[in-house]
Amino acid sequence: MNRQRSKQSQFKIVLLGESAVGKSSVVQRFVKNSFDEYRESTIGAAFLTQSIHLSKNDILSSGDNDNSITTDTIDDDGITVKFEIWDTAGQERYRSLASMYYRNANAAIIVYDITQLESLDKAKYWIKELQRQANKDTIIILTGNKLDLNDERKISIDDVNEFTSIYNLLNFEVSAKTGENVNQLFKDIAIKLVIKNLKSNNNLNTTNKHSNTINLNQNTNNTTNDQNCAC
Amino acid sequence: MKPRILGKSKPVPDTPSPSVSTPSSTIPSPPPQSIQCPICNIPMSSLIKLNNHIDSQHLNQRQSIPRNHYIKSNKCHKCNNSSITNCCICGLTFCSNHINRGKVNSLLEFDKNGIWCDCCIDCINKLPNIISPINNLTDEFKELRNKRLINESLKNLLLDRRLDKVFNWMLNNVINEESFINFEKSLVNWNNQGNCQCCLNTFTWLNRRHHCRICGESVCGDLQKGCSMIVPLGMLFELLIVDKDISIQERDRIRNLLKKDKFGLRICKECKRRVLNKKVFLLDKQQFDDEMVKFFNIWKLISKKLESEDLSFIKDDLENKLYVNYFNKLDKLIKDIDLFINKGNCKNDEIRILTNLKNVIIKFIKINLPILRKSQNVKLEKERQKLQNIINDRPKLSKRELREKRDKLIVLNEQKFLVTEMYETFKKQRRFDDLKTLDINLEDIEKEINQLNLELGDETFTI
Repeated sequence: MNRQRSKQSQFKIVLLGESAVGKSSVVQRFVKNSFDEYRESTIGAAFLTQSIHLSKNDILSSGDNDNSITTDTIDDDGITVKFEIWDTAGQERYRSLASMYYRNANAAIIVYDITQLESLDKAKYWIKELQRQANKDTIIILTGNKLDLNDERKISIDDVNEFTSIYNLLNFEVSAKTGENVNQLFKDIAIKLVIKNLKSNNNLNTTNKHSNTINLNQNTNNTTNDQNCAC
Repeated sequence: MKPRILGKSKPVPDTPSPSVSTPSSTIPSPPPQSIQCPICNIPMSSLIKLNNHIDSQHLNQRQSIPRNHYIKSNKCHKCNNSSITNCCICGLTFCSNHINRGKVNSLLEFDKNGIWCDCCIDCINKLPNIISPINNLTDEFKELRNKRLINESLKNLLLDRRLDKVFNWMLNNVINEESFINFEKSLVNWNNQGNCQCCLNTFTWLNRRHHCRICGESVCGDLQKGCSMIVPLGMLFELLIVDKDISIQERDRIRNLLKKDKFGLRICKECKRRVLNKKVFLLDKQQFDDEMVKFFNIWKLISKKLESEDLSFIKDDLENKLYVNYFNKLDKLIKDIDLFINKGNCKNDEIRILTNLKNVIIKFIKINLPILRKSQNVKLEKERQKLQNIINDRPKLSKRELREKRDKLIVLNEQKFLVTEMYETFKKQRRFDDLKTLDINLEDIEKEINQLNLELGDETFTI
């Protein structure tokens, strides 16, 4: 039982969007906390991992928490969440590749460039495709990048808000260059995922008395071995 | 004048002079009054004077036909072919098909005493009375010719019989020196003439008389002129068996007998021409039969069969197999011909014939093979479609889908490579927990690639 829960502390995230909107830069800011002015465009899909720590308070005070999750459910140390990030290439050529990665992703970050109108169109296209093809549980986050170029903004936040409210999506505006909002974005995603996870676990294990706590920090290396075991 | 060779020019006193007439200068000059100018009948004292007379007096007449009415043109007046000959009467230009010759005098009229000139057919036809009546000697000629032909064939027959005699003797008698000399002399009576019957040179103590054993005439033994030569019996036998029906054992027996034989029959040029050449030809033809004619026959057979078939449509596998087989045979034929040429025992003419044959075959293949290939493709396509309809019932991919699928396959393969590389680096960095994810991803990619391959089927790499 523990094993199954600890596995859920890893979340798969996929980044989608028009090319040159800054998907890789956002990921780089989050993973390495750095920024390249001149990045080469991604080939295929890149794989990166990053862990963040969520304190007990973070989760409990989250807006998503509708009191179904109580202090008992979470360790005092809080939860460490590991992201497995698939950063896909935005070029048209690699579009067919994306489906493989968003198919069983826990969250999909759809990035657009706030200085480019077309990138939002592309983002809308992705949203539609995800709603049609992807897992229904996948959380979709619409993210506008290049907040540092606020002066050249072409897409107003209100338009996007309107759009996201229709589809019931999360909505962020970040800047990979300055790092503004990037960590917040991932943290929010983590909290949302964790709560969602806990809720479903709660539903499943209401009868199970031993399942008061979840040890999400269990050695993942071990679990890997266990998983590979034929029994 | 020919340079004189010792012993040849001096006539032997008791033999008549050779029938070939010698140039006039050597003939004792005839009485002076017999030389007359053929045109003006003035008597001349010598031939040289007559020559000079004709050159000075009568040559002008030749040039007296006026040419100022000639029309300059390089086209035939009748058929527009290029030509440069003018009719000397009307002056127009004609090609060789429309020009004839007639005797014309200086007044541009046809005249018996005129000079031979080029005249167009029209001009000749305009004056039909000028043409002299035709003296038809065809029948007479035919008669003479027939007589001569009968004589010739009789003579040939006689010589043939004698060769048969030689052959029978070789078959039935023990060949030794004594019997051979006896036989040689019994074959025909030898004529003793004073000069060679082939080159007409008189015999001297240097130029000895020999006898042809077949016709019995006296001939010289000059090897350079080849008036006669000694043909070894072995060689003669090979020629003689050409049109004879004898068993192989018998043939080999006599071949062995004559192998180290030093005997030979002297045969003259004339007899060689009359009877032996025929056998040489037959022998050549027989040898040809072995290789060259065989090639040609094969080619003829296959091409005839292929031409009678309609290559643009293949009914079934059997027919396809048949056609392919034909082409394979042609291919093999070309290789055989090449091999035969490269063996190096061919004469130049044979090589030329074979090369030409080869070229013809290659040309035939070049023209007809694409037709067969095309129809094969059509057939294959049909079968493939049938199979697809029956087994898979999968709709055929459109061109666009095909392209997209191929692109996807390429991208997937790229991604597979990337992930594999990532896998390796992660392994080095000992990030084992992440390897699992990559592993799953690799499996996914593999699955997709397999799926795509399945969908694309044979069309993965075809363009």
